[in-house]
Amino acid sequence: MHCMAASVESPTALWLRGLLDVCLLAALKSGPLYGYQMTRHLADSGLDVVAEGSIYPALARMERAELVTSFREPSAEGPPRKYYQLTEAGEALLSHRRQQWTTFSSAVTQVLGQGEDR
Amino acid sequence: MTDIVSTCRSTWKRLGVPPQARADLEFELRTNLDSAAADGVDAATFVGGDPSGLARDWAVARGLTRSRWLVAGSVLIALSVGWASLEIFRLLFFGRGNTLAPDMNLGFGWWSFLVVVVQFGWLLVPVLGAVSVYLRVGHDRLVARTVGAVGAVSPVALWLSASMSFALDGLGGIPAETLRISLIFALLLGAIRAAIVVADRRSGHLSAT
Repeated sequence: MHCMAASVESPTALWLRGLLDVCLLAALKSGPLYGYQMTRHLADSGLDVVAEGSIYPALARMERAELVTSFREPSAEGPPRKYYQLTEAGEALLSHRRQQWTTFSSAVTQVLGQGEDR
Repeated sequence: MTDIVSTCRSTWKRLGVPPQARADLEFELRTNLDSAAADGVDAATFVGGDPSGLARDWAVARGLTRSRWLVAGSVLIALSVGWASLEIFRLLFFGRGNTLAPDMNLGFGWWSFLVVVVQFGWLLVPVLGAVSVYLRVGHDRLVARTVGAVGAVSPVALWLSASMSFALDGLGGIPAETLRISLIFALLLGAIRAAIVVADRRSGHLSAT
C-alpha cells in the first residue's frame, strides 16, 4: 500500500492491511461517517498505524462492491461532505467477517499461547 | 495542502479520469484534508507521503482509468513495433524484393502452422515487450493478465495473421504484406486485450470509460 512509510512496516500495519475493509465496515455500523471521521474512529480504538488517505481506495472498492453507499450532506461543522453508510450487503458481510475473526483470532491466540508454554 | 491536491489532480488527469469524477475525488480529498488540518494533522501525513500513489490507487479502485485508450494504444504499438520488426527481419534475412511468404502448397495444416510460427515467432518478443511497457506506463492494473493472455494466444494469432496475409499475396507488394501481417496480428491482440477488459468490467472491477 503506497501510504505506508518507505521503511519497514510495523507488524500491526501489515495486519491492518488485511483487516482495513472490515474495520471500516464496523466503523460505519454506528451510522454514516465521512472519511476523516472513520480514520479518527479507528485511531481512537488504537488502530492509528495507517495513513488516513489509505482508506479512500478501500472505500472506493467497497462502494463498487455495493457494501457501502455514499451521499453528500452538510456536516455538523457546516461545509458539505461526502458521507458513507452501510448497505444491507455490507451489514451481512460485516456480520460474517465478525464470526470468521472470532474463530481465527481464537486459533491464533491458542497457537501463540502454545509457543509460550514451551 | 494545495500542493497535495494539485499533485493528485494532475495524476488523475494523466490517468484519463473524467472531469466530473476528478471534481468528485478532489471534493472528497479537500473536505477531509480540511478536517484533518483542523485537528492539526498536516496534509503530507494525511496522504502517507505519496500523493501521486494515493491518487492512482484511488482512481483505479473506483474504476476510473481509461481502458479504451489503453486498448487502442496497445493495438497501435503492436502494429508499429510489429511492422518495423518484420521489415527489419525481411531486409536482414531475405534482402529487398524477396517474399516472406512460405510455400503455400503446405496448405493450412499443422506443418504450415509450425513453419509460420518458427519463421515469425521472434516477433512476439518486441511486440509483447512494447505493449507491456505501454500498459505499465499507463498504470494499467490488467497489464500482467493482458501480456500473459496475449502471449499465450500469440502463436495462433501470428499464424492466422500470416496465413490471411499470404492468402492475399500479390496485393500491394512486399511492404503491404508485412503491413497486413502486422495489422491483422495487432487487431487480434487488441481483441484479446479488449476481451480481458470487458470481462474485468463485468466482474465489477473496472467501470466503462
